[in-house]
Amino acid sequence: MRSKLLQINNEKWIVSIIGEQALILQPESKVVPISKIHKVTRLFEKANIDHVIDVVPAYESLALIYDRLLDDIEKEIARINNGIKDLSEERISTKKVEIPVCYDLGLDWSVVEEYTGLPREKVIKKHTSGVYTIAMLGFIPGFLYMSGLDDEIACPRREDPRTKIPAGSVGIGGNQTGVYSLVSPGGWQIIGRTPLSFFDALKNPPTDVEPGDEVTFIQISENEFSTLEEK
Amino acid sequence: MRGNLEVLDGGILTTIQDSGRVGYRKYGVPVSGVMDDHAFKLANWLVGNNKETPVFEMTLKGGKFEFKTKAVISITGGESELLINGNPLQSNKTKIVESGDILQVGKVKKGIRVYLAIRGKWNIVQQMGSYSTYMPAKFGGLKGRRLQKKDTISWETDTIEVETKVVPKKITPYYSTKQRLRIIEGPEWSWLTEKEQEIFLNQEFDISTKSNRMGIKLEQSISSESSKRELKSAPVIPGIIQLPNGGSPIILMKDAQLVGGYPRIAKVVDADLWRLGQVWKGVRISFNKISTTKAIKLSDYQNNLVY
Repeated sequence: MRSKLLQINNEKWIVSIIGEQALILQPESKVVPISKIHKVTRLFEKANIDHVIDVVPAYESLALIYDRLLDDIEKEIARINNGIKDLSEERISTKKVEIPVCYDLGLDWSVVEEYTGLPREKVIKKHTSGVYTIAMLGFIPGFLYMSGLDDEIACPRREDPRTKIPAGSVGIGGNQTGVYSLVSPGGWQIIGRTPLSFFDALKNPPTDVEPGDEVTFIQISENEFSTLEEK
Repeated sequence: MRGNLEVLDGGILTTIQDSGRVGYRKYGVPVSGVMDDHAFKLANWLVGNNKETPVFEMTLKGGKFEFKTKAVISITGGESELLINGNPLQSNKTKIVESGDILQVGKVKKGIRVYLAIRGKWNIVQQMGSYSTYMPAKFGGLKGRRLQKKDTISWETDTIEVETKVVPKKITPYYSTKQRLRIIEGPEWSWLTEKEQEIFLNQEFDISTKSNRMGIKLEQSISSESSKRELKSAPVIPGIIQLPNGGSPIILMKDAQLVGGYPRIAKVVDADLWRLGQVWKGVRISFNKISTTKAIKLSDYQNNLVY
């Protein structure tokens, strides 16, 4: 793989070609907080560099997707440099999002209680007292991967993933928590449901949240869930 | 003028696809779009559409369609029996159909995907800038699902008086049961042992029937007992070859997710990716590693082949 170095805010990033129309950027220093990836992702979005059609953050790297061939990587790095140089010091704002969750609609409480050794109320208390960061969106549209889960309520994924999980399900998978916006298959332990959806294909953009946003969970009753769901 | 057709039989898996959806990857929205870009471009070229116009992508077996108006159409892609009102129809050639004509597309014998293009602008709603159907999240195309009996599609066209075109021989695809695909190194290529790299480049792989629009799964394993390193979910794109723990590679295709945790050992070059839109059980593939510079040159050539 051919790779080059790029300097962003006193940090060196390794730029390599992953495809004819795609670059991968990863910090040279091995240990990076995901907030750094998010910050640079937003920087690139603001910079709006010609021919970059998608900026995709992941855990330790991000991808720039182009609508043309990358036939001259040196020139492209110069163009990137030029595009971001005036933005580097700009403050990146992130949103705070509150997600109401009805924990009575959890499907895997017995597993979660047994694995963590904690009663349901304690798990809920820990889940609602955390502040989470949306690490990324995917494996299907509108699935929110969030980091920041209390280690004491971490739970392994199901050995036998469910073929269908209801929309709005809130789950725990390893040391992450997440929301399934759409009905989908999935292997996380489901501890509740939110009446909110974070994906609507008819809207543009299809969701209000972005990688890097901060999330907190608020407990609601089944009645409140039904009322909010109808809205 | 307005044209329309009714689906009499949707076949096994017929969806509306175009050149794909860009700009929404960070929301977890895959690219989607046609699996065989080459056949797609040929289909639209034959009817005089611009190259982004949606088409029907039929998989394994075609469907049956009744045209309610005159229309300019073309069929490209995999080889199958094609009939108009029971009479044979030639693929890779412009065809003007009459009101009441019934088009029947049979089982696909060579390749697995057949494309139907219709001259005009389709009266369906774009979602996030594309007409492509993404079935796992039920959006795009027609209600986010496969076409079924009684569905109707209409379009607006300027004219149906067009010159008949035929795909030139030198760009007519041939879907061989042996495919040698060119690849470039992926970010984790060096994670493979020398032995594994050698096996990967010399092995002939069979295609698993578990393959779909998300990925082409290969049957053979290339891994010995070498230790596995873990990768934190990292960006992926169509063409990337992942190596899951079992050691049998997966080639990501158009509906693939945007990040993945398996080592990205290589990538099929874009210029050869369309070939994978036509492989299925019975086809054997092997890989030939080339430089990125060469891959970009090939892309440049392929991108200007039809339009």
